[in-house]
Amino acid sequence: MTLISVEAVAFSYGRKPVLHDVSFTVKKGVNLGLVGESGSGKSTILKLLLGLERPGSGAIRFEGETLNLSDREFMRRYRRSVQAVFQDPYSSLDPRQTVEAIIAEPLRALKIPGDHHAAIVQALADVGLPADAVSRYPHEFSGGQRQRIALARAIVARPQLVLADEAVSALDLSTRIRIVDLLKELSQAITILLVSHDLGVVAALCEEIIILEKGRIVEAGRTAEILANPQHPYTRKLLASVPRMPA
Amino acid sequence: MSLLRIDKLTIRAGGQALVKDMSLTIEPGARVGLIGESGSGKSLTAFAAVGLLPQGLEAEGSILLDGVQVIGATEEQLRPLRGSAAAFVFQEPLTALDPLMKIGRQVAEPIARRRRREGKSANRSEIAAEVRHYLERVALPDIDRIMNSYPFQISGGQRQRVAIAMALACRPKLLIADEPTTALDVTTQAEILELLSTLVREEGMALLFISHDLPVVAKVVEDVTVLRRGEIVEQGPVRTVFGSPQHEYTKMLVNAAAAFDRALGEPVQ
Amino acid sequence: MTDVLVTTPPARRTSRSLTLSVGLVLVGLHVFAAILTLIWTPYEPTAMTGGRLEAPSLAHWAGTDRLGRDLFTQIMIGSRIALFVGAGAVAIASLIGVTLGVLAAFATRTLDDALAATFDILIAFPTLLLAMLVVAATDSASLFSAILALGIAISAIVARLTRILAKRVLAMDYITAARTAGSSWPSIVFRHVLPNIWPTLSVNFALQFGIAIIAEASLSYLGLGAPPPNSSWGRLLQEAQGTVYTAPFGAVAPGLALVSLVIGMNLLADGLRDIGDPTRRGRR
Repeated sequence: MTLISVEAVAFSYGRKPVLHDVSFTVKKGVNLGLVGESGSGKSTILKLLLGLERPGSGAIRFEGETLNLSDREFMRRYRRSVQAVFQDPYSSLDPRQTVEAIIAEPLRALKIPGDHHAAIVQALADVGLPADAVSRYPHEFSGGQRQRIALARAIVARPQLVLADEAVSALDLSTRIRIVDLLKELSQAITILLVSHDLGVVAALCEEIIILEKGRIVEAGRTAEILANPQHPYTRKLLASVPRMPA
Repeated sequence: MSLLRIDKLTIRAGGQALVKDMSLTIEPGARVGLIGESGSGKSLTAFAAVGLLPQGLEAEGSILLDGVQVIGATEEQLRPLRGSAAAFVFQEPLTALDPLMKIGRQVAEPIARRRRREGKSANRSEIAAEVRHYLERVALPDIDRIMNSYPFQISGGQRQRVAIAMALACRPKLLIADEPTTALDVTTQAEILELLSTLVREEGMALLFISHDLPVVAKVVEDVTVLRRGEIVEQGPVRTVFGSPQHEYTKMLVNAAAAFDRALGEPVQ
Repeated sequence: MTDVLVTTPPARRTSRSLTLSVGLVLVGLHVFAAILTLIWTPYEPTAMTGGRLEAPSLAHWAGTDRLGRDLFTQIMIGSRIALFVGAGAVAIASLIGVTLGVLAAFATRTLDDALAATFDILIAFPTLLLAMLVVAATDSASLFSAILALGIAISAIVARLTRILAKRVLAMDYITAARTAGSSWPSIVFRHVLPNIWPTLSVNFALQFGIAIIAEASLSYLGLGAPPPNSSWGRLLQEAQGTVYTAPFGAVAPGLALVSLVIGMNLLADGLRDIGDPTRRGRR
């Protein structure tokens, strides 16, 4: 089942074109990795998927409808289904809010009914944090724990899709593997789209993968196949560049 | 005589010990890696080795850089060492270069300094020729354009090559690279690592490579020291430490790196 | 290197809390005096209870003015006026300044540039001159016109500071996260932007308070402030001017009062800056 369909999307910052004719689909239950280096356009795709910018041309469809940023009702429905986690755990949480207020934000803004406090405690449990974290402030937590809080905020409204923007890139190796494991667990109920430059992380988490170079998709398909048999020269170069552990 | 001999180094800030009882030896021509996560003290150790600890931090123990005791040494004693004994390459090329100075001029500085030290002439054209020579060594294309550019006008990978050129220009016995490729794209990283490896070998320099990335370290060094919260946890040849780690912490790191490595499947030819 | 915590050496920390304490005491004295005047003063402010230009004595702690009125009473009332004017001016300045500053932070490039330039031009005007212009424009000298004038004059600085602080906050990931969570822009401004710029702004307000008080004293000294019988320190200074050589205490007393309150506010601002960030470093 298609959650989101990106159709021939192009985007420019002022006069500088950043995305050319990008098309792909996000399917329910299939984690998707968007891999690219700087200038590949992966962050721009994320901004478009989050409804923070409008495509220059082409369309993004959600449940058959085209994304319309000015339609309040539509965006509310969209955001109930599509949430995000960002790269920097030190700037993605408001330092002056308690953990409870931080995680409650989507519930409040999207006017989701029900017991908010219970939902928050459940979300914290889902990411492996204790319930007493609710009254604490972000600065009392480590980088990895902050990312968990950010994840709790992303899943508290029970979205269908979570967009993760380099969600583990700023973390230490030991924390990174734990958060990737957590993401794997969460993907039993939620689909994850991971934007990253780190092929190893994407390979560990995503069943399908899209390789971006300079605003274009150069290769896309099942991760295992592409890793075993890369077709495009850029994909080959990328794979050859990743440092491997000694045998 | 060892190039760098660190003996029971302890670095304190306030009452807290950030590095405890650290010992490390680097022989001429050796390639050593320092692995650690954040807070491990790996960068601090490197800064201490050249007497560049920030204000407020105290070092105890012994650091012999090319036979000279660094701890407690004065600026006058340390300055001649910096550059000739050891040169640094930093993590963030954008901040390591002076944004207001053209590349040509920046690379000329360490060259001029070194020539003065060696008693050679500070002749403008000779220095310019050396600048070109080093920019060529780091495989930079379009050297004339780059010499006349400001740091923000060239790419991250090119900036890091410039930083390496500047370090090389000091003709150091030991090159200290602190996470030199962490801020770079994967493909650029591969090129820079290749470059570092080649240069170190060709110039006969020793290398101290600091990183949190295990496979990256494995590519460039022969021996590795694993740090955790300021203490050495394991030390030895790369293949041994990665192949059969002894300490729990090392095992955990190696397993994590191996997990991501496995996900990538067999290396593609 | 990024996670090296260089902690403040203990000696510096105590001197900072000393700053705050002294500031609190100085300001507190004036606040106490001001509140007290609402129910009691040593003498009636307009009553001629002593000889003319008497030196300080047990009966008249600060002496008397040229009409024999008790100076200490007038200085106490001056505290009330100074605090009233300071608070009023800062309130108006913050209302206008914060609103304009936040709007500028959201504005498009061209509008933002225009606003920033406007703020800078207004700031270039000496506060006093600007205040005088407003008083002249309202064509009346009263306490309220003084407060309004000073409020408008100070608002430009507040606006510029707010604009920069708000822009910095708007660039943070938690703002993007709030938008992704569905929060509207007004909600983001009240829940995220304002609380995060408040610590720095409040310190600035304390400084502006001191500036407003001096400006009001200057206005009164020039005769443009509230007319008698309001005993602003500025007016007291102006009255004492003629007899400053024969009866110096007439100028010293209000001068001391003015200086002590302004220094107190500045010390308070300094001390607040250090408490400003409640997120003291602590890790689990």
